[in-house]
Amino acid sequence: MPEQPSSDTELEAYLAGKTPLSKAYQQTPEAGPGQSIDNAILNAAREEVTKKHAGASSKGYNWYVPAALAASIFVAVGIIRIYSTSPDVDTVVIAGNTDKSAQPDITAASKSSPERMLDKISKLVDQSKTEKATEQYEAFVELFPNYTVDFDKYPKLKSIAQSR
Amino acid sequence: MPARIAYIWHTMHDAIKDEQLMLQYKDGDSRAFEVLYSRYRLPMFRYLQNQCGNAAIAEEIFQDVWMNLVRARERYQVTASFKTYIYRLAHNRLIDHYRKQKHGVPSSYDEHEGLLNMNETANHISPQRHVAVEQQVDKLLEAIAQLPEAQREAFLLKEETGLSVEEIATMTDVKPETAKSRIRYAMNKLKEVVEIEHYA
Repeated sequence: MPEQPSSDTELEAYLAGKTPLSKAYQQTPEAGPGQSIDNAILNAAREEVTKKHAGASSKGYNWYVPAALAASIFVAVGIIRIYSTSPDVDTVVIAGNTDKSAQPDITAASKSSPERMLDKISKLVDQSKTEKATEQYEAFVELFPNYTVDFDKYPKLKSIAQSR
Repeated sequence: MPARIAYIWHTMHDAIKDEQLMLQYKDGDSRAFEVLYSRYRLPMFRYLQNQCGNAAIAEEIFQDVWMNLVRARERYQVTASFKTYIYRLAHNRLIDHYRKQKHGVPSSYDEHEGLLNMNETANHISPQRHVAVEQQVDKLLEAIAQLPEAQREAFLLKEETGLSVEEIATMTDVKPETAKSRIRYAMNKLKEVVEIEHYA
């Protein structure tokens, strides 16, 4: 037989913790989980934090390594292109001048090796453009002040050098 | 951490709300988790143990609940009280446990059938437990164990969490009237034990 429903007042009193039932229940043993369960949970909680932090660092590493690699490749390719496809001194365009027969541009020339620049100056001497060759040689000395010109290799420049 | 420092630290954190502690844990403070765990360890375990009637199963569910909380740390947002949140995790895990059992989720959890079959009692008390019942608390625990699962859970949630009927209803996905009926039923059954002992 179903028990008689308790009155709302009785229920409210119980919900408010004002009946012997709640007091009796609070006297029941407070058995907790085993120590191994405590340790497992607390260790997992700590490891989760550590792992995530390490993971965050690892994620950063994963992110910047490829980016750095790509940047390095970009720079390396750029440098290779500068040296391998550096405009010929003879065809360098002086700012504002599209004439390919224009005179060598010292700025562009400076991007190439000293030897290439000396070759070009020698060509100017061959073309009897002594004044221009001298001017370029002066620029060469300014650009490469510590460079020792081998006049056996560039005999045509010896006179220009001596005239300075 | 030295014991005294740990004591001071925990004392300081006593004033911090559960939700704030969980947010601190979300931000990587594992000590905040320890405080939370210490607050809920006993009541949650007693709720699960009294609900399942088996310490080993209770420990398994208990551990799963906390592991789920740890894993959900980064997704945690304060949408309800932490108490409701953690006990909802426990309730859901408990229902999963029942679902895996041979008979599935007990019919007492059905909002309609459960109320109609309130006179049925669960029958999984071990013989050893019958022998051990000598004191009032044991008789009370015995009576709790004999309640239908849904009514038992409603009673245990009320006792262990102090949540309101409405909060228990929300947590267990039932209407407030259903939660109230379950608690009323449990109270009527259990008060008999307490009153008999009280006036014996």
